[in-house]
Amino acid sequence: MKNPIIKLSNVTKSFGQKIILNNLDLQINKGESMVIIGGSGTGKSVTLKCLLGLLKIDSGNITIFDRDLDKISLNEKQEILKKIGMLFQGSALFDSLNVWQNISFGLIKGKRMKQNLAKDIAIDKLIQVGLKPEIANSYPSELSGGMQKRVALARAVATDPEIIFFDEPTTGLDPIMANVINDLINNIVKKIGATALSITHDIESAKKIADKISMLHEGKIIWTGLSSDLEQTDNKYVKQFIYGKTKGPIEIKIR
Amino acid sequence: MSNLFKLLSLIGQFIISLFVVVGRLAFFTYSSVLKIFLPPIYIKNILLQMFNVGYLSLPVVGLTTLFTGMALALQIYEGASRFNAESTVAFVVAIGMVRELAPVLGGLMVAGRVGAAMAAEIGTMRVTEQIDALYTLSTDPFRYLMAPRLIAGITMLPVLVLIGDIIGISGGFFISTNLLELNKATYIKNTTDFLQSIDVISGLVKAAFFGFIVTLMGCYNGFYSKGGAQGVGSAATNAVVSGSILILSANLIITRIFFGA
Repeated sequence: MKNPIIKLSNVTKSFGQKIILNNLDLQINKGESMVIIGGSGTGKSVTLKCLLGLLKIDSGNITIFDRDLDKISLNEKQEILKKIGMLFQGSALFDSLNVWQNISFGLIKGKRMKQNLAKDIAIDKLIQVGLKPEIANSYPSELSGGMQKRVALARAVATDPEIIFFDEPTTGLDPIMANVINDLINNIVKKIGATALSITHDIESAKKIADKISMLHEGKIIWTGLSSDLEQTDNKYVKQFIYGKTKGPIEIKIR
Repeated sequence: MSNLFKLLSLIGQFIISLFVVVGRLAFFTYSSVLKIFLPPIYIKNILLQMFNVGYLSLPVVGLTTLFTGMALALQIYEGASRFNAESTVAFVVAIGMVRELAPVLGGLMVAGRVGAAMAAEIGTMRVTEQIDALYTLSTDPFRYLMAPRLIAGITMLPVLVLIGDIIGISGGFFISTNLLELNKATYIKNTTDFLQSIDVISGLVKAAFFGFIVTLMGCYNGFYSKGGAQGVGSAATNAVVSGSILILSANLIITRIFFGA
């Protein structure tokens, strides 16, 4: 049995009375591309934020690179973060910095790389995500949504991280651009040999980028399987979700 | 009976939320101040913030102190002439400007200009996940965003107030010698003879505290803003309101420390 690079055991997280993650268990092996699917408000983004240490869990354990996040110092956490890349749902590019400064931010500030070298790497990453080097001096507000997503992807992989998290990578993009992003994710993840964890409710995207898919419902993983098994499963929750049926075990809660 | 319970519950909730805010502000202040002294220090960010807080606030603070110095000369002349004490105009304008009006009005103007802008900028970074992105790129937001702003506030406001002192006193001089026909040489002599260094120093110390308050409130309200555009708007408003109230109350305390009997 493979040693998981990311492991969540009995993770619970609540906001006030509302339980978001309820004894969540999840394992991701090195080099694997795992996608978590699930409806809105099921705890997908919270899972990612807990993994990044942006939210503190109520109970359970999260281990990354065999280190328990709750038992390590802030400096050790930062060392782990240096091996992780993150693509945010809304890109989260720094609007006060231009494109190449955004991409090279982790190299210059995190890895203390010299500016000239970091700029060369940033432009190389820009080409890898299919953008022209001419936009290196543009600011994020001058780019389209799709271009911003690509720049954010270039920033996420600039440090050649061992783990990459993708938060809704195709949300808000047209189908063609969504496919372009899916292909980029596949190519880049394979190229740098990273472990990838994506969260999405875009089934087509999930099938394209995943080796394994897990479904999150009411704070628990209710199904895990190979990407190719997704449509063959008998799990009623998964079936309802992937075919978008309004009737089934998943109840849409309307306040 | 149930109404009494509701009332007690509301009071309890208010007290708990008050403690939460005080605790959060204390933690934020501690983290931000600590990071001023711990490397890495982002020199470029500090210089940029000094430019924003200092140089770009110069017109606002300069105009405010100019008109205040002018109006103060008119007011003091009118009051002093009732006692045939027109010669005190120069001294009262100088002491009023350096001890009180330049630091307080300068602080309030900077709270309106800089505090609101900082809250809006950091608030937008919060709601668009840019602060989370900083963290994931191994960069401490307190070191990268808060510490440079606090340093800029603490160092630049005394400079602005010192310039405001000179402009305000010059405004009083201009009105007194041109409109009120006071003697120029006597006016300058009265100003320099009676003004003591403690008057200027107390104003500059106040300015440093006000600079800290303005930038802290801007950063704090921005950092904890939530809920999109409305949340960012509220953060900017709260930064100005809380900054202004804290400036006025701190002014009383610092004045009492320097000049209290």
